[in-house]
Amino acid sequence: MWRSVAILLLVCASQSWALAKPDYALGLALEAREQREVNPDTNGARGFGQLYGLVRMRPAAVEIETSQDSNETHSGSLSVKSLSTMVGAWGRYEYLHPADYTLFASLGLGAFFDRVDTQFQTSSDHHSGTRDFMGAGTGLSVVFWEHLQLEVEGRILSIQESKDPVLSGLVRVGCQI
Amino acid sequence: MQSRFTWLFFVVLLTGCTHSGGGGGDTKFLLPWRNVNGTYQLQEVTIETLASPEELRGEAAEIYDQNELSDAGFAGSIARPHLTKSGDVWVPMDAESAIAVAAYAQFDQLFKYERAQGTRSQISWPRRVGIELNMTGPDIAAHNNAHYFTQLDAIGLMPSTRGGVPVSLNHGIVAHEHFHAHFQSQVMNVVAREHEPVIAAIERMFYPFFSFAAAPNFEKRPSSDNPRSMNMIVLRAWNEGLADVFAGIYTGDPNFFAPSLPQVGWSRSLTLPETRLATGEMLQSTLMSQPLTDDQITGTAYAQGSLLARMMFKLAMNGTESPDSFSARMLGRIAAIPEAVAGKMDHTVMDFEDVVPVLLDGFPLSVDSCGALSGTVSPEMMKGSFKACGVQ
Repeated sequence: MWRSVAILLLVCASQSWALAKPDYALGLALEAREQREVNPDTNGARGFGQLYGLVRMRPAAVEIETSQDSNETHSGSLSVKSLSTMVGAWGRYEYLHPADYTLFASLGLGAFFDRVDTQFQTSSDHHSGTRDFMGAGTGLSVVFWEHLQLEVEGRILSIQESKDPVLSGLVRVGCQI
Repeated sequence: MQSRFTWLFFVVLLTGCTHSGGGGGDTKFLLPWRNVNGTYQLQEVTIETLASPEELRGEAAEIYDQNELSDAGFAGSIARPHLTKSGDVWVPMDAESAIAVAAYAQFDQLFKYERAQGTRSQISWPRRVGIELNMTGPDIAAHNNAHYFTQLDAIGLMPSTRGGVPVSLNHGIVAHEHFHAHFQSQVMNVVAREHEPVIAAIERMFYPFFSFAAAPNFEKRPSSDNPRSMNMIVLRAWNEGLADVFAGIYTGDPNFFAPSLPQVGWSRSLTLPETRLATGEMLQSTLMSQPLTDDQITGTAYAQGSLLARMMFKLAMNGTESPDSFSARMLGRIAAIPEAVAGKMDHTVMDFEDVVPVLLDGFPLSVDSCGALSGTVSPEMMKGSFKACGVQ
């Protein structure tokens, strides 16, 4: 599976290099992620700030992004603090690109690097873990005044060892050169 | 070229939906846990009966988180904890997930314990357990507490609002609630065939805010002119007391309430000196002299249950046989209770000690056992049912 995603990204990139001169973009994103609670019948939404970099070789593009999420919960003397750093790489294919906007489909993979600090009674523990993910999405990209990049994207993520897909929506603002 | 990319995109998308789900068998978790020394701390715990770490369903239990109660049990889906994997250890990423997995792990341990004891077939498995239940009602019942729902054959573990070990992580309290399933199966369900309306009224008294319990009916409340209704208080006392004995033996801790509920830790301690159990006549005269509130009736059942529990726990721990053998004996003997009380239920208010000869039938009496018995039951019972003790 992972091999096929990598091959797809390489194919996208090799085809597009011949077609266009690359554009580069760097910016910030706001991601809203809807994920299930421990009771899977209920969902909770969380928001994250994100940093992204984009290399665009029309009709393909490669994006690297990272974000961080922290959470702290208690029950009696039990306290659990978690910090998750996400690093992801996404390949895009712009399937519709009229003059003033672009519609794209995306595929990505990456990992959440988790650190969990747990305390209970007089004991404490620190563990680090990793959860891989892959996902697919689609979005709209617009460039104003040749440099201001605005994007919206919707995604569905499959996170390792989790039965439920995670829905995500992103808004990006960046500078393109 | 565009069509080729589109095709590749969908192939990868479809194959992307096949993430591995984790296998069955032994799975190791980092959990808030009671260790072999009786201390609560973080520990790596191996669960044997969980099919997958993603969903808390297995041979031992089904765990529900904040689910509503329905006539059939818990409504909705089984809990799916938030976990990350660190080496070969699954680590819960929030307190709710830790409690949910730890609840399953406790029933995994109870399942194996009962398998070794030979008592597993008395009740149905997997046990259904709800954690962090959102109940409206008095704080003492809706928080920092646990309940066995007789009509649902399910256990509810309430949210914690204070420090210390949450009730849902207290192995003794969970074992106490688990025992109620045995008493329900072997005693109450048999008695209920003839006395269901009375049982429903008593349940309503103990759990007044759960909507599935029968509505209170004053005529069915315990009253001095209704022996059946008062005998339900006696049965309740036996149920609570024997649940304490089971939990005390299972954990090896006579003060298992204390880490979670220090305010009841002393009154429910199994190490306090023996005190004589009340007679049916005393219960009847109390009810005749004044109408008791539901809380007073509940308190009477728990207090008498504790007296029974202390005596039984002393017998379990005095070395006549292993505590686990005593526990298995007790679970085996409770099935004889309905027959023993059948002739009295409608006609006489039973003495709280009436269950003792039933439970100890065939139990070899040592000097220590006789001492504990004579401090708890009447001289008449000592002379009649425990002649080997030689009480004149």
